[in-house]
Amino acid sequence: MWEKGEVTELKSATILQKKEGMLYYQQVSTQEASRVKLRLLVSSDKGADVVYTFLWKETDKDVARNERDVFKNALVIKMGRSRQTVGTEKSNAKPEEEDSELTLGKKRKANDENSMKITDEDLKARQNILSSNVELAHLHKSLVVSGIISEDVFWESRMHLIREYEFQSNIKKGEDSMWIELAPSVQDNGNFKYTITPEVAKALFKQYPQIKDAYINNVPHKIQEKVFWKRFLASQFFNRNKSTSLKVGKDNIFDKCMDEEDKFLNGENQVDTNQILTILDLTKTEEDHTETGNEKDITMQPGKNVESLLLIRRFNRHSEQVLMDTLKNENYGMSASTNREKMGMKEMNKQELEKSIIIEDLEKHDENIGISLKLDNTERYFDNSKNNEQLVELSKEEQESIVSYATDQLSSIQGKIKLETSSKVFITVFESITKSLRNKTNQVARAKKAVEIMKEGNVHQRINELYLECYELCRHMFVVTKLGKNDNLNRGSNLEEKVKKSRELSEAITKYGEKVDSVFSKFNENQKAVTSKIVERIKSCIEAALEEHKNFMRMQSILV
Amino acid sequence: MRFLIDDLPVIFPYEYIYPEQFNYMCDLKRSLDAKGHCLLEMPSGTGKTISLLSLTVAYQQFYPDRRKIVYCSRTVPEIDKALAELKRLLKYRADNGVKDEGFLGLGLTSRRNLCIHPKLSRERKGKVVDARCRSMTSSWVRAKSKNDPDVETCSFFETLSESQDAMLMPSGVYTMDDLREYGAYKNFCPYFLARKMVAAADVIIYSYHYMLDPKVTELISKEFSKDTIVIFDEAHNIDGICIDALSIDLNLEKLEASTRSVEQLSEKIEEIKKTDSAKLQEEYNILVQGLKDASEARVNDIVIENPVLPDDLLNEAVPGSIRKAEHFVSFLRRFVEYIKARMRVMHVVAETPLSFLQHLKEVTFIERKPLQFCSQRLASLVRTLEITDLEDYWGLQKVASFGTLVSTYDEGFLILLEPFESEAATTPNPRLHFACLDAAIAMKPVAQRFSTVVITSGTLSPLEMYPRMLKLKTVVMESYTMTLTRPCFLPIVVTRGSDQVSISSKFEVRNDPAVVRNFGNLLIEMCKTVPDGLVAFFPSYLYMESIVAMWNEMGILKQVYKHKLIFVETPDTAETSLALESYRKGCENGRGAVLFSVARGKVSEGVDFDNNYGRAVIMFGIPYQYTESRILKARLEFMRENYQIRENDFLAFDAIRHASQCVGRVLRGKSDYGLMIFADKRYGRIDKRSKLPQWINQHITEATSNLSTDMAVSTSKLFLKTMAQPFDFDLQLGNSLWSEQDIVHKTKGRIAN
Repeated sequence: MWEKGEVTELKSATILQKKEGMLYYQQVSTQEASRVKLRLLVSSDKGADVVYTFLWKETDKDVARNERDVFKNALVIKMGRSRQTVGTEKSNAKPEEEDSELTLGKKRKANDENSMKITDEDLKARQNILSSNVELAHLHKSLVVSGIISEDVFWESRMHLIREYEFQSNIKKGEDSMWIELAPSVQDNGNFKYTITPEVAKALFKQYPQIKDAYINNVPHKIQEKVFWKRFLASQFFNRNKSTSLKVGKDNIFDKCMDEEDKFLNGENQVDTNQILTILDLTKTEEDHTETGNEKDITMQPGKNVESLLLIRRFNRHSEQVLMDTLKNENYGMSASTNREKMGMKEMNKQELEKSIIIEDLEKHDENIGISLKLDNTERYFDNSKNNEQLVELSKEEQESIVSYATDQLSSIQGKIKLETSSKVFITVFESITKSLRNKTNQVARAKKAVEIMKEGNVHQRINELYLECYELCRHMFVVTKLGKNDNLNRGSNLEEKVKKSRELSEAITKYGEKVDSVFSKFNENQKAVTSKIVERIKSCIEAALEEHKNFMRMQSILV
Repeated sequence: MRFLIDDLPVIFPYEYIYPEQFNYMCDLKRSLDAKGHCLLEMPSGTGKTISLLSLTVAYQQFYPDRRKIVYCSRTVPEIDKALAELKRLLKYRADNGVKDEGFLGLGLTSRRNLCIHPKLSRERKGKVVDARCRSMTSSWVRAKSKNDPDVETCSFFETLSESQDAMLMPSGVYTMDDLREYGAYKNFCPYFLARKMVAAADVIIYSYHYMLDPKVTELISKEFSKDTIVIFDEAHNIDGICIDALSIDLNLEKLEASTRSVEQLSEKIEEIKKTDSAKLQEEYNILVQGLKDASEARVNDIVIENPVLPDDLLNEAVPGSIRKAEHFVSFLRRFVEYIKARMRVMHVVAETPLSFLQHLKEVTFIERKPLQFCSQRLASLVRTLEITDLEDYWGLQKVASFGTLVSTYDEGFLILLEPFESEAATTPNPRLHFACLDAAIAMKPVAQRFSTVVITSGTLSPLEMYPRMLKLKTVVMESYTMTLTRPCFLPIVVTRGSDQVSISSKFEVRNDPAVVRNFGNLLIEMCKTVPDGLVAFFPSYLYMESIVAMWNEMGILKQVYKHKLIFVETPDTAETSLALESYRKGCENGRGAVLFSVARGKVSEGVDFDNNYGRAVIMFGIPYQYTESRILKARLEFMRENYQIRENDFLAFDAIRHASQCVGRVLRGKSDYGLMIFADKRYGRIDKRSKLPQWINQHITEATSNLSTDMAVSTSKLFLKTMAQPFDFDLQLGNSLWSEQDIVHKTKGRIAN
């Protein structure tokens, strides 16, 4: 079934396409493979083997590998899950992959903790989140895939990402609001040709609801679709606004539509003003008093231009149709129309009225909570500063020379403004201004320089990764060591698990501490200067976590 | 919050207050103390209404004379909003321990908007509802129904008039909906309930017409005492309303209807002569004694209102020549026929009331005096003949009003006879315009009668224009700027397209394809840039309709459809309301929409486009009035001669106030934000810009006063991005937002100074 040198490392009973079999996972170590691949082999006892090989388009190996890992992880999780649920069935599926550094032990660990409650959607969400967020993917790879933290725990604290993803992916594309003017294409022989695609038909329906009704009533049981559109194009309805005088015959379907259209365009369709919000009902004002005054001048009489009036009415109707379709399709949130049905016009009016009079910023408001900055890729935060002009840090001497130059300049125009440059007040004021200016410019310059240094030799990325990983680990440590209500003697098992976990974490953290030290020691002086603060921070984090671990162990020993 | 202005404790139903609101209240109080008129310009969307109400109600409840407050607004939705604000204020006052006992706040609008009669309330036209209501509630119908159960009356009206309760409704504030609800609950007619309670109410909120239109004022606002505080909110166009109140149009249709009505009247007289001649005699006797007695008919029996201002009413007996019913009818017949004959002209005729009357007398021997009584005499006759189907008499009513007005006023009016509807028309459709040219005529009685008239709006610049036009002496005239922590609105002037061709709605170039295309491109670009709602205003319906057609041909609207749904104002008001609602839905659900509307049109007045309902307003061109209009020309001439206001000054002032009114709709509160785009090269000029309200003009910098489309887009993008950032409220505190402590602190400084 597989080639020489390949070793089965994982085995699981699964069902694939209603065939039972075993799922095999095995590892081949070919680090130097030219392209990143994922090969999936499904072989059933009864049928023939099926091999799926996926080649990554991405030529950058690291990126491709990362992405592949995501898929692989998900696959592995799935395998693990089906192994737990299905015991008896047999299936033979085998994902086979190259270029993997993982060991079985770690993988198993990751799988073990996968409980049954994860749905496919969740998995998909996780996969996509990881593939779109490089930093998170890295964290996932180095902590979860390597087995330090379990998949579930990793995601537990990132539920908001999944929710956000679900929300994003649930946003549906709205109805197309395209306004259609059917224009014929001219063919070689000089004939016109109209093309009506389903999209065009849909847009037409939206513009002319009566055509939609006619279509529903007649196609296909009375006439064929093709005939329908042919007749439509030949009808008076369609050719009404054309300048060319076409001889048009009678058409029982479209003449009726035409009548309806005429009725609509002449504004004979009465609007039920009771269904309009009171604060928007303009008729109330119109009928508020007897008519007075001279008639409006010619430019202010609406509807004088009949052609455009028809157009305007059709625009309004079209927009309304699009809107109605959109509102109908909206299953999340509350659309205004359903709202209206729910509480009735009266209540709705009252609410709208109240809403329209309140000025929110005059009301008492809670503490303003800022919106936290969410960066998917923190590295890009520094991108912007690339092209900015170089800021030079000024030394005190330089600054002073500038100041004295400026003072001279000022003195030279004394004819116009009199300045007592030698007075004590002037000097103090001038100095304090210069000082604060110098501080400001120097601060900016220093920050810029730090950014430059951080960029050298990937310092920033390395530090950042270390920081994120340590932070994540410590976070988990604090979670684990926190004693819950159920952690008493009777429920020893839970506690035991925690102890185990805590121990594991503490080992990992200690290791990371060493790693941080070794990375830091390799930096040059400048880099050290810039990164020392963050390294300190990381270390203090690690210390705190380890301290927490110690405390926990002590507590636990007392409890036991 | 609660604070003191001088010795007056004011309760303001919010936790904080804008500094301009506080200053506004201080100035308002000054004017109330001085019992004089005032003119206050306050930026749109900074809570003008609530400041007005908080202060005036506090003033009313604190001082012993309890001055009545009459609050006039433009539109019914605005009236409703003001009522809701009042209701909220009173609740807040009660929650803060101020018991305003017996306080009554009411709104009043037409029967059509208040009626709860199952059949009538379904009618859409105000005129129809009025006529049908009268046919059920007039005293003779009700008398008849006592003998004849088949005569239909209105049970709501009956219950109300039979009610013995002195206090018909419990104290409180009633919005229009509350009033209808209460009416339905008690089986009272809400309209007449409100009419009855107007005299007793502490605050009344209704539209301008109820104060300025003499036909209505006489009925509704007659009994208000001198110290009543009269407020005109959103009063930037108050001169227009004053003029409308006294202007009348007649056309052939109305005259034909009048002829028919006159015939009906004479038939009725013949009929009644046979059956009940005593009745006519009785009327005659009353008229001999003087009209006073007749006018004391019951409120709901006054079916034909007098169009003349109360001061100009003649309190004397009806002249002998029209006392007898049949004489009056033939008098009317002659008058109608005369107008008909005058309308058969082939060229435009303009004349003064004086020359009109002279010619009238020469031809028909109709004297000035009887004509003055025309409306009153008709009202009396209608009552005597017990005519209920007044719907048919609308033409005659107009003719009678015209007769009365033309014979009462000599100055400030113009009669214009036009044979054609427009310059281009070839079929004659003659019309007679009786145009009031002087806004001060309708304003004068209000200004004289009431000690304090407050005129306020977001756009009253330049302030000195109003006292001149309205002949109003003011004690306080103030314009406030908007204190801002962050510039939450950005006015920009776009003068040219990306191709550098300048854009303008000037008549000569407005239909130039290059200009139209540049306007279109600006729209497309803004639709791409601006989220949610975008409102586009055009200078006139004519221009909007033609530019929509041109844009459609150029494919510009197709492009717009890619980004936003298009809604357009139509001639039908209900249809427009529906489009407006759909527009808001489009903004709410994130689809985004653009609304095409017209400055001075239906939508520009009283509909707010706050928050996501309007992130930008584009004003395409300058909304000048149609300068070829003869009425406008006459008015301009009148103003030049009498008020020394130059034509161009007035035209520019009028155009700019409407433009700024349109763009001002975009803001509500300081956490809201929006773009104000003036798209016309003429806005770049200093003479136009100087007429913008100070609070807008001061934010137009050199950098934003002469932009091309592409520059405007990048400026807008930057602005929108900045504004979309979370806004820290605390930064505003003490600066553009005051707490109680801030007020104490700031006023201390003021006193010390």
